[in-house]
Parts: sequence; C-alpha cells; structure tokens
Amino acid sequence: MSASQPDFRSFAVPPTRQHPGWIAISAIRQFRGLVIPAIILLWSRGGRGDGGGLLVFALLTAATLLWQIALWWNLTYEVLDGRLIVRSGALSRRERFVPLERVQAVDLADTPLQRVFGLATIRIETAAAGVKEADVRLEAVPRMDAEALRAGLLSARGVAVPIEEPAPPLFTLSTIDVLKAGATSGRIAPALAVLIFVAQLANEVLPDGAWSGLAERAPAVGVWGAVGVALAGALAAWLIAIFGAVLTWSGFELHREGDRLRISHGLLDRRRTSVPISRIQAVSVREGLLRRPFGLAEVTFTSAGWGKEGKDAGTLAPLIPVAAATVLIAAAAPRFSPPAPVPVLASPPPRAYAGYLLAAMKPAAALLAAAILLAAWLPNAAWWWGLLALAAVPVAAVHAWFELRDTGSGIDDGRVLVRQGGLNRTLTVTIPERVQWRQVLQNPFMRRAGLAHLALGIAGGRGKTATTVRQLPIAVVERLVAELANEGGPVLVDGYTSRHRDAPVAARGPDSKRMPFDERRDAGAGAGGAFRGSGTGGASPAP
Amino acid sequence: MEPGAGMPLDRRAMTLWRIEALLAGVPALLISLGMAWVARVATPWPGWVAVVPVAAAVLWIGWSAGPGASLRWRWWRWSVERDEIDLAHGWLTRTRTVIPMARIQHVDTTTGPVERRLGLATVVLYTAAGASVIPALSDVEAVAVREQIAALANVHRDL
Repeated sequence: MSASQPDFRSFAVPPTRQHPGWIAISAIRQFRGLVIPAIILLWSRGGRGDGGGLLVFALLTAATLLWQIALWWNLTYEVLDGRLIVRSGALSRRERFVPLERVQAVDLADTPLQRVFGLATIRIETAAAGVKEADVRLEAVPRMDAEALRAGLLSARGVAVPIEEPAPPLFTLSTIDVLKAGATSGRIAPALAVLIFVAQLANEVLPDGAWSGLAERAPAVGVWGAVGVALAGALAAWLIAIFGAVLTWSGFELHREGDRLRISHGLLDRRRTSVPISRIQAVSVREGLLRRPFGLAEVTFTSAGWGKEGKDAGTLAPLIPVAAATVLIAAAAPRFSPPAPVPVLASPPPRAYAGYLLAAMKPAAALLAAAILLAAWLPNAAWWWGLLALAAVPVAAVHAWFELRDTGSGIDDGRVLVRQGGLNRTLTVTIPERVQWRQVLQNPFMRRAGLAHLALGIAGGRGKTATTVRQLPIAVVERLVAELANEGGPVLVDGYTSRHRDAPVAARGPDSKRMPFDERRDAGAGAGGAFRGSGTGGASPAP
Repeated sequence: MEPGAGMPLDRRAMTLWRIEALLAGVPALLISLGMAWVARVATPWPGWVAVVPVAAAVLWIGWSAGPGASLRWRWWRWSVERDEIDLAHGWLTRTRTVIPMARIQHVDTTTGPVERRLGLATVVLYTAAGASVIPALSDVEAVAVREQIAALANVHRDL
C-alpha cells in the first residue's frame, strides 16, 4: 500500500457488531461484584428455607444478562468516509466519530478469557490526550478482524505500516513465574480478608452459641492441636496468596513505547497502565523474605502528577532475578537504574542498634498485650498463656539486627540510593531532582549518640511520601543533605532536559527589609547557588 | 544548646498555641473524666486508677499551654533563601526540613479563627510530596513571605 498519498476514503468497514462472546465477558465482569453478596444472602437465608433471596438473585441475574445483550446488540463500529463511527448505548445512545487522521495508535491485546473465544481487545488511541474515555475500546473483536482493522486504520491514517512487528516486551511473566510470585509473596492480607469473610459467613450460618462452645473447647485441643491449626492456616494463606497472584499477575507485560511505559496484567480483569517515564519519581527493588534465598525480587515504581486518574504507583516486574532487575530498569527507566554493583552505602553504626531494637519492640509489645488480653478473655485459659507471644521478642531483635545491617544511603552517579533492611530488603533509587524535600530528625537519645534520621520526600506511592533512613551518623546525614543541594539544584524538566529559566532574582521580592534571605541572596549568587550544573551556567544571559 | 540560624516566629505564636491547647484540652478532659467514671463504676479496680487519665489530661494541657508553648516557639527557626527554604523546629525531637525552591508547587497563607484575632497567619508550602508550614507569622509578614516564595519559586518553575 502506498503511503505517500493517503486516501482516507479507501478503507471502509460496514457496521459491525462485536462477537457475541462479549456478552459473556461483560456479564462475568458484572457478576463478579455480585458474587459475594449473593453467597451471603443465599447462606443466611438458606437455613430458614426461604426462597426469596434465590428469586431476587435469579431476577437480578436475568436482568443483568438481558442488559448485556442489549448493550451488545446496540454497539456497532463502522469505518466510512475516513471516519471511525462507534454507536453504543442501550437506553441513551451515543455516537462517536473519530477522524482517522486523529488516530494515534491502535493496540491489540487479549486476556486468557478472550483467547477462549478467539477474541481480542482493540484499543484506538485518539489525539485527545488526558480526556476521560478518549480511547475507543472494542473488547470482543475476532482476532483476524481486529488485525485487519488495525492495519486498515493505520494505513488509512497515512502511516506507512510495514507489517509492523510490535516491539518485544521488556518484561513478561510466564505461568510458572506467576505461581512462584504467589508462592513467595508472603502476603497474608488477602488471606485475612478471606478469613474475616468466612468468619462473618459462619456467624450467619452457625447456630447461636457455637462460638462460645468453640472457645470453651479451645484449651482441650492442646498444644499440638493449636500448632496443627496454625499450620493449616498458614497453608491456606499461602494457597490464597498463590491464587491471588494468578488473578493479578497472569499475562504480565511491560512495554516501552517511546517515552511511555505500558503495563498490562490480570487474568479476568486486565489492568492497563500507561506511564510517562518522565513522571516516574522513584524505582524500588524489593527482596521479600521468601524471595531472598532464591535471589528474586519485585520491581516497583512511584509516579506523580499525570492526569486525574493517574495511578501513583505501579509494578515493573512482579518477580525477577535481582541481577536482571538492574538491566530491566536500565531499559525501562534508565535514570533510575541502580549502579551495578551497588556501591558501599553509608550505614548506621553498631551503636544505632538500641534505636532499631526499640522501634522493633513496639509491634512486639502490642502483640504481647493483645495475646494477654485474648488469653484473659478465653474461658478456661489463664492470662499468662498470652506470654507465649514473648516469642515475638527475639524475632523482633533479629529483625532489628537485619534492619541495621542492611540500611544505608548514598549518592552515586547522579542517583540517590536508599536501602531499607529487615526481613524484607528494599533498594529505592531516585534522582536528586525528584527529592521534594529532605529532613533531619533527632530525639535526645540520638543527639547523645550523634545519630539522626534522614527523611526524603518523594512524590506518589499511595500517600506515603517520606522515605526514611534511620539512625545514620549525624555527619553523614549533614553531608547527604548538603550533597543533595548541590546535585538537585538545576530543575530538570521531564528528567532529561533543562528548561530552567535563568531570570534575575534581585529585582523581585517586595518588602525586602524584613526578609532574612535578602542578605544571603548576594552571597548565594556569588557561590553559584541553584544554578550550578544547569547547563547554561549561572552568569550566562538568557537567549 | 541554642537553636540555629534563621528567623523566629512571631511572639504571639505562644499565645496562639496556649489558646489552642486550652481549646483542645476541653474535650480531652471530658473524655478522661468519662474514663475515670467508667473505671470507678464499672470495674473492680482500686480508686487511684480513676485518677490516672484525668491527671494525664491535666498534665498534658498544663504542659502544652505552659512551658511547652514557650519551648516550641523558642526552637522554631525559618529562613527563605534564594534556592531553598530551611525550617527547623522541636525542642525534644528536633526536625530540620529543607525544601528546594524548585520543588515548590504553590504557596498559600491560611488563617484560623484564633489566628485572625491575634493578627497571625500560617504559610503553607506545597510540594509534590506533601505540604510544610511556617506557622504563626504576623499576617503582614506571612503575605510578604508568600509573595517572596512565589516569586522565587517562579524563577525555578519547571512546569
């Protein structure tokens, strides 16, 4: 096909519906939200032989299915006269006209569920960046039709489309790796959620008094019984974690497209993120407790300030050998790749152990208090059974030691490195331009020992903005704070190019008598101040 | 040991904090009285247990309305330079925060009801990673500082 004189009108597709498989895919998505309430209602009512709940749910199911069928019937796409026309909506109708020359990119993707039907999602990105629902998404197009549509759209747009092999992903996760990721995640939160749900369910179903009966019998099972229950619980949590990983991470793909990263993952619900690399604030390599023996890690990032629905954190690789992580980051976000090998970082001296121990004892003390209260509450059990939780104290002491041993910070090759230790070890890499503020904290004990915490403000990351290195020697902290002033001076827009305006400052600033900085301004300018390293030089006039 | 270089806050900050401590103390005292009542009536614990929460509340109010406010004022220092804003505070736990001018997203002044009566205002500095404050400046000074920081941050603006 000649790309020299694009003819938008030559490519046409008659009005077409999606594959009926869309009804199933969409219905499954709708039903997922209904499953748990349905189970609760059925269980709670089932005991009383009342069929009302069942009927309600049968009606709801039927209505949902009918609604999906109506949506499917009314959604058509068409290419005519150089425009893509998408008509949709069952009650309120919507027609979208997308001029083909506005089409920016056309992506194909499929989930395992779509593959069952031989379908693909086609996503047509338009020029209206940042607008909600700017993209056209057709979620159930037969694979062949989707490829033809993609080729047609792109060639009609006038882009010479060499049967373009999409760039290979930077990182993918095989099924085995997904299972490994689940098996080594060490996450118990999902298991707790399931446990709470089951407990609520049991509360609904079991006759009154079952709980107190259980509590009375609890001491009778003996120590081995308790150990057995604990082991069974751990096994269940482990299986739930694996199951959760399969749902979340199946088909993980990381692509780099120019200055953006595209990430997609998920078995039933495909989650897609597209992150401008320039918005990345920090990258972390996290070696979890269960992953360290295998040399495996998870690579995550935080980002900030891109659009209203922008997520503030994401994953570059759910599971990757530590050695490969550096290579991956170098390809995905080069400015954040940790130097290999990681240089020797300034670390807390052994006298800082007291501080680490104290911090680690807080959760241990809370656990102990909770255990004693629980034991005192259980009938037939003495309060001092709770003292079994004292076992947490040596664990906390060991944890504190690992924390101390692995913690460190340093600036190397334009990168700010923070390693936080413990049973999990995390290396966070950022650049001076992304450090929003820096903070030195000292309590009286630390002052006496000549130690201080260093906290760095890094944007994004689910509300947690401070990355703290604890109990470093105060001299080291002061040096890092000062070094960051030198390195972080110039403003690097997008992290790559300086658009720093070299405007004179002296003329500004009303009411300069009371300002303490007025005396310092001249001194600062003489020393080069913030303009050091900006590429233009402090004294050069603006062009 | 003496606090470092920089400007202190307005002296009226102490008055502000004392008033705020007393205002916050009212509900705290009520809650502690409630706890004392529960301890007396609903538990077999000895009588002195009931005194503990009330004593704690009174001590806390007395400290923060008295010497606490003075020490807090004494250890607060702030300075706005061309490239960075430097904040230091805290008597027991000392905190020093350095915010590069280039990271300032925007600057606000806020004034609570008590602050307004006293002629005080707070400067709030926003970065992409949260906000910092210079509390309790005189309102004239707060506005001047805000304008100054806005102008300096504009020079460094990266957006």
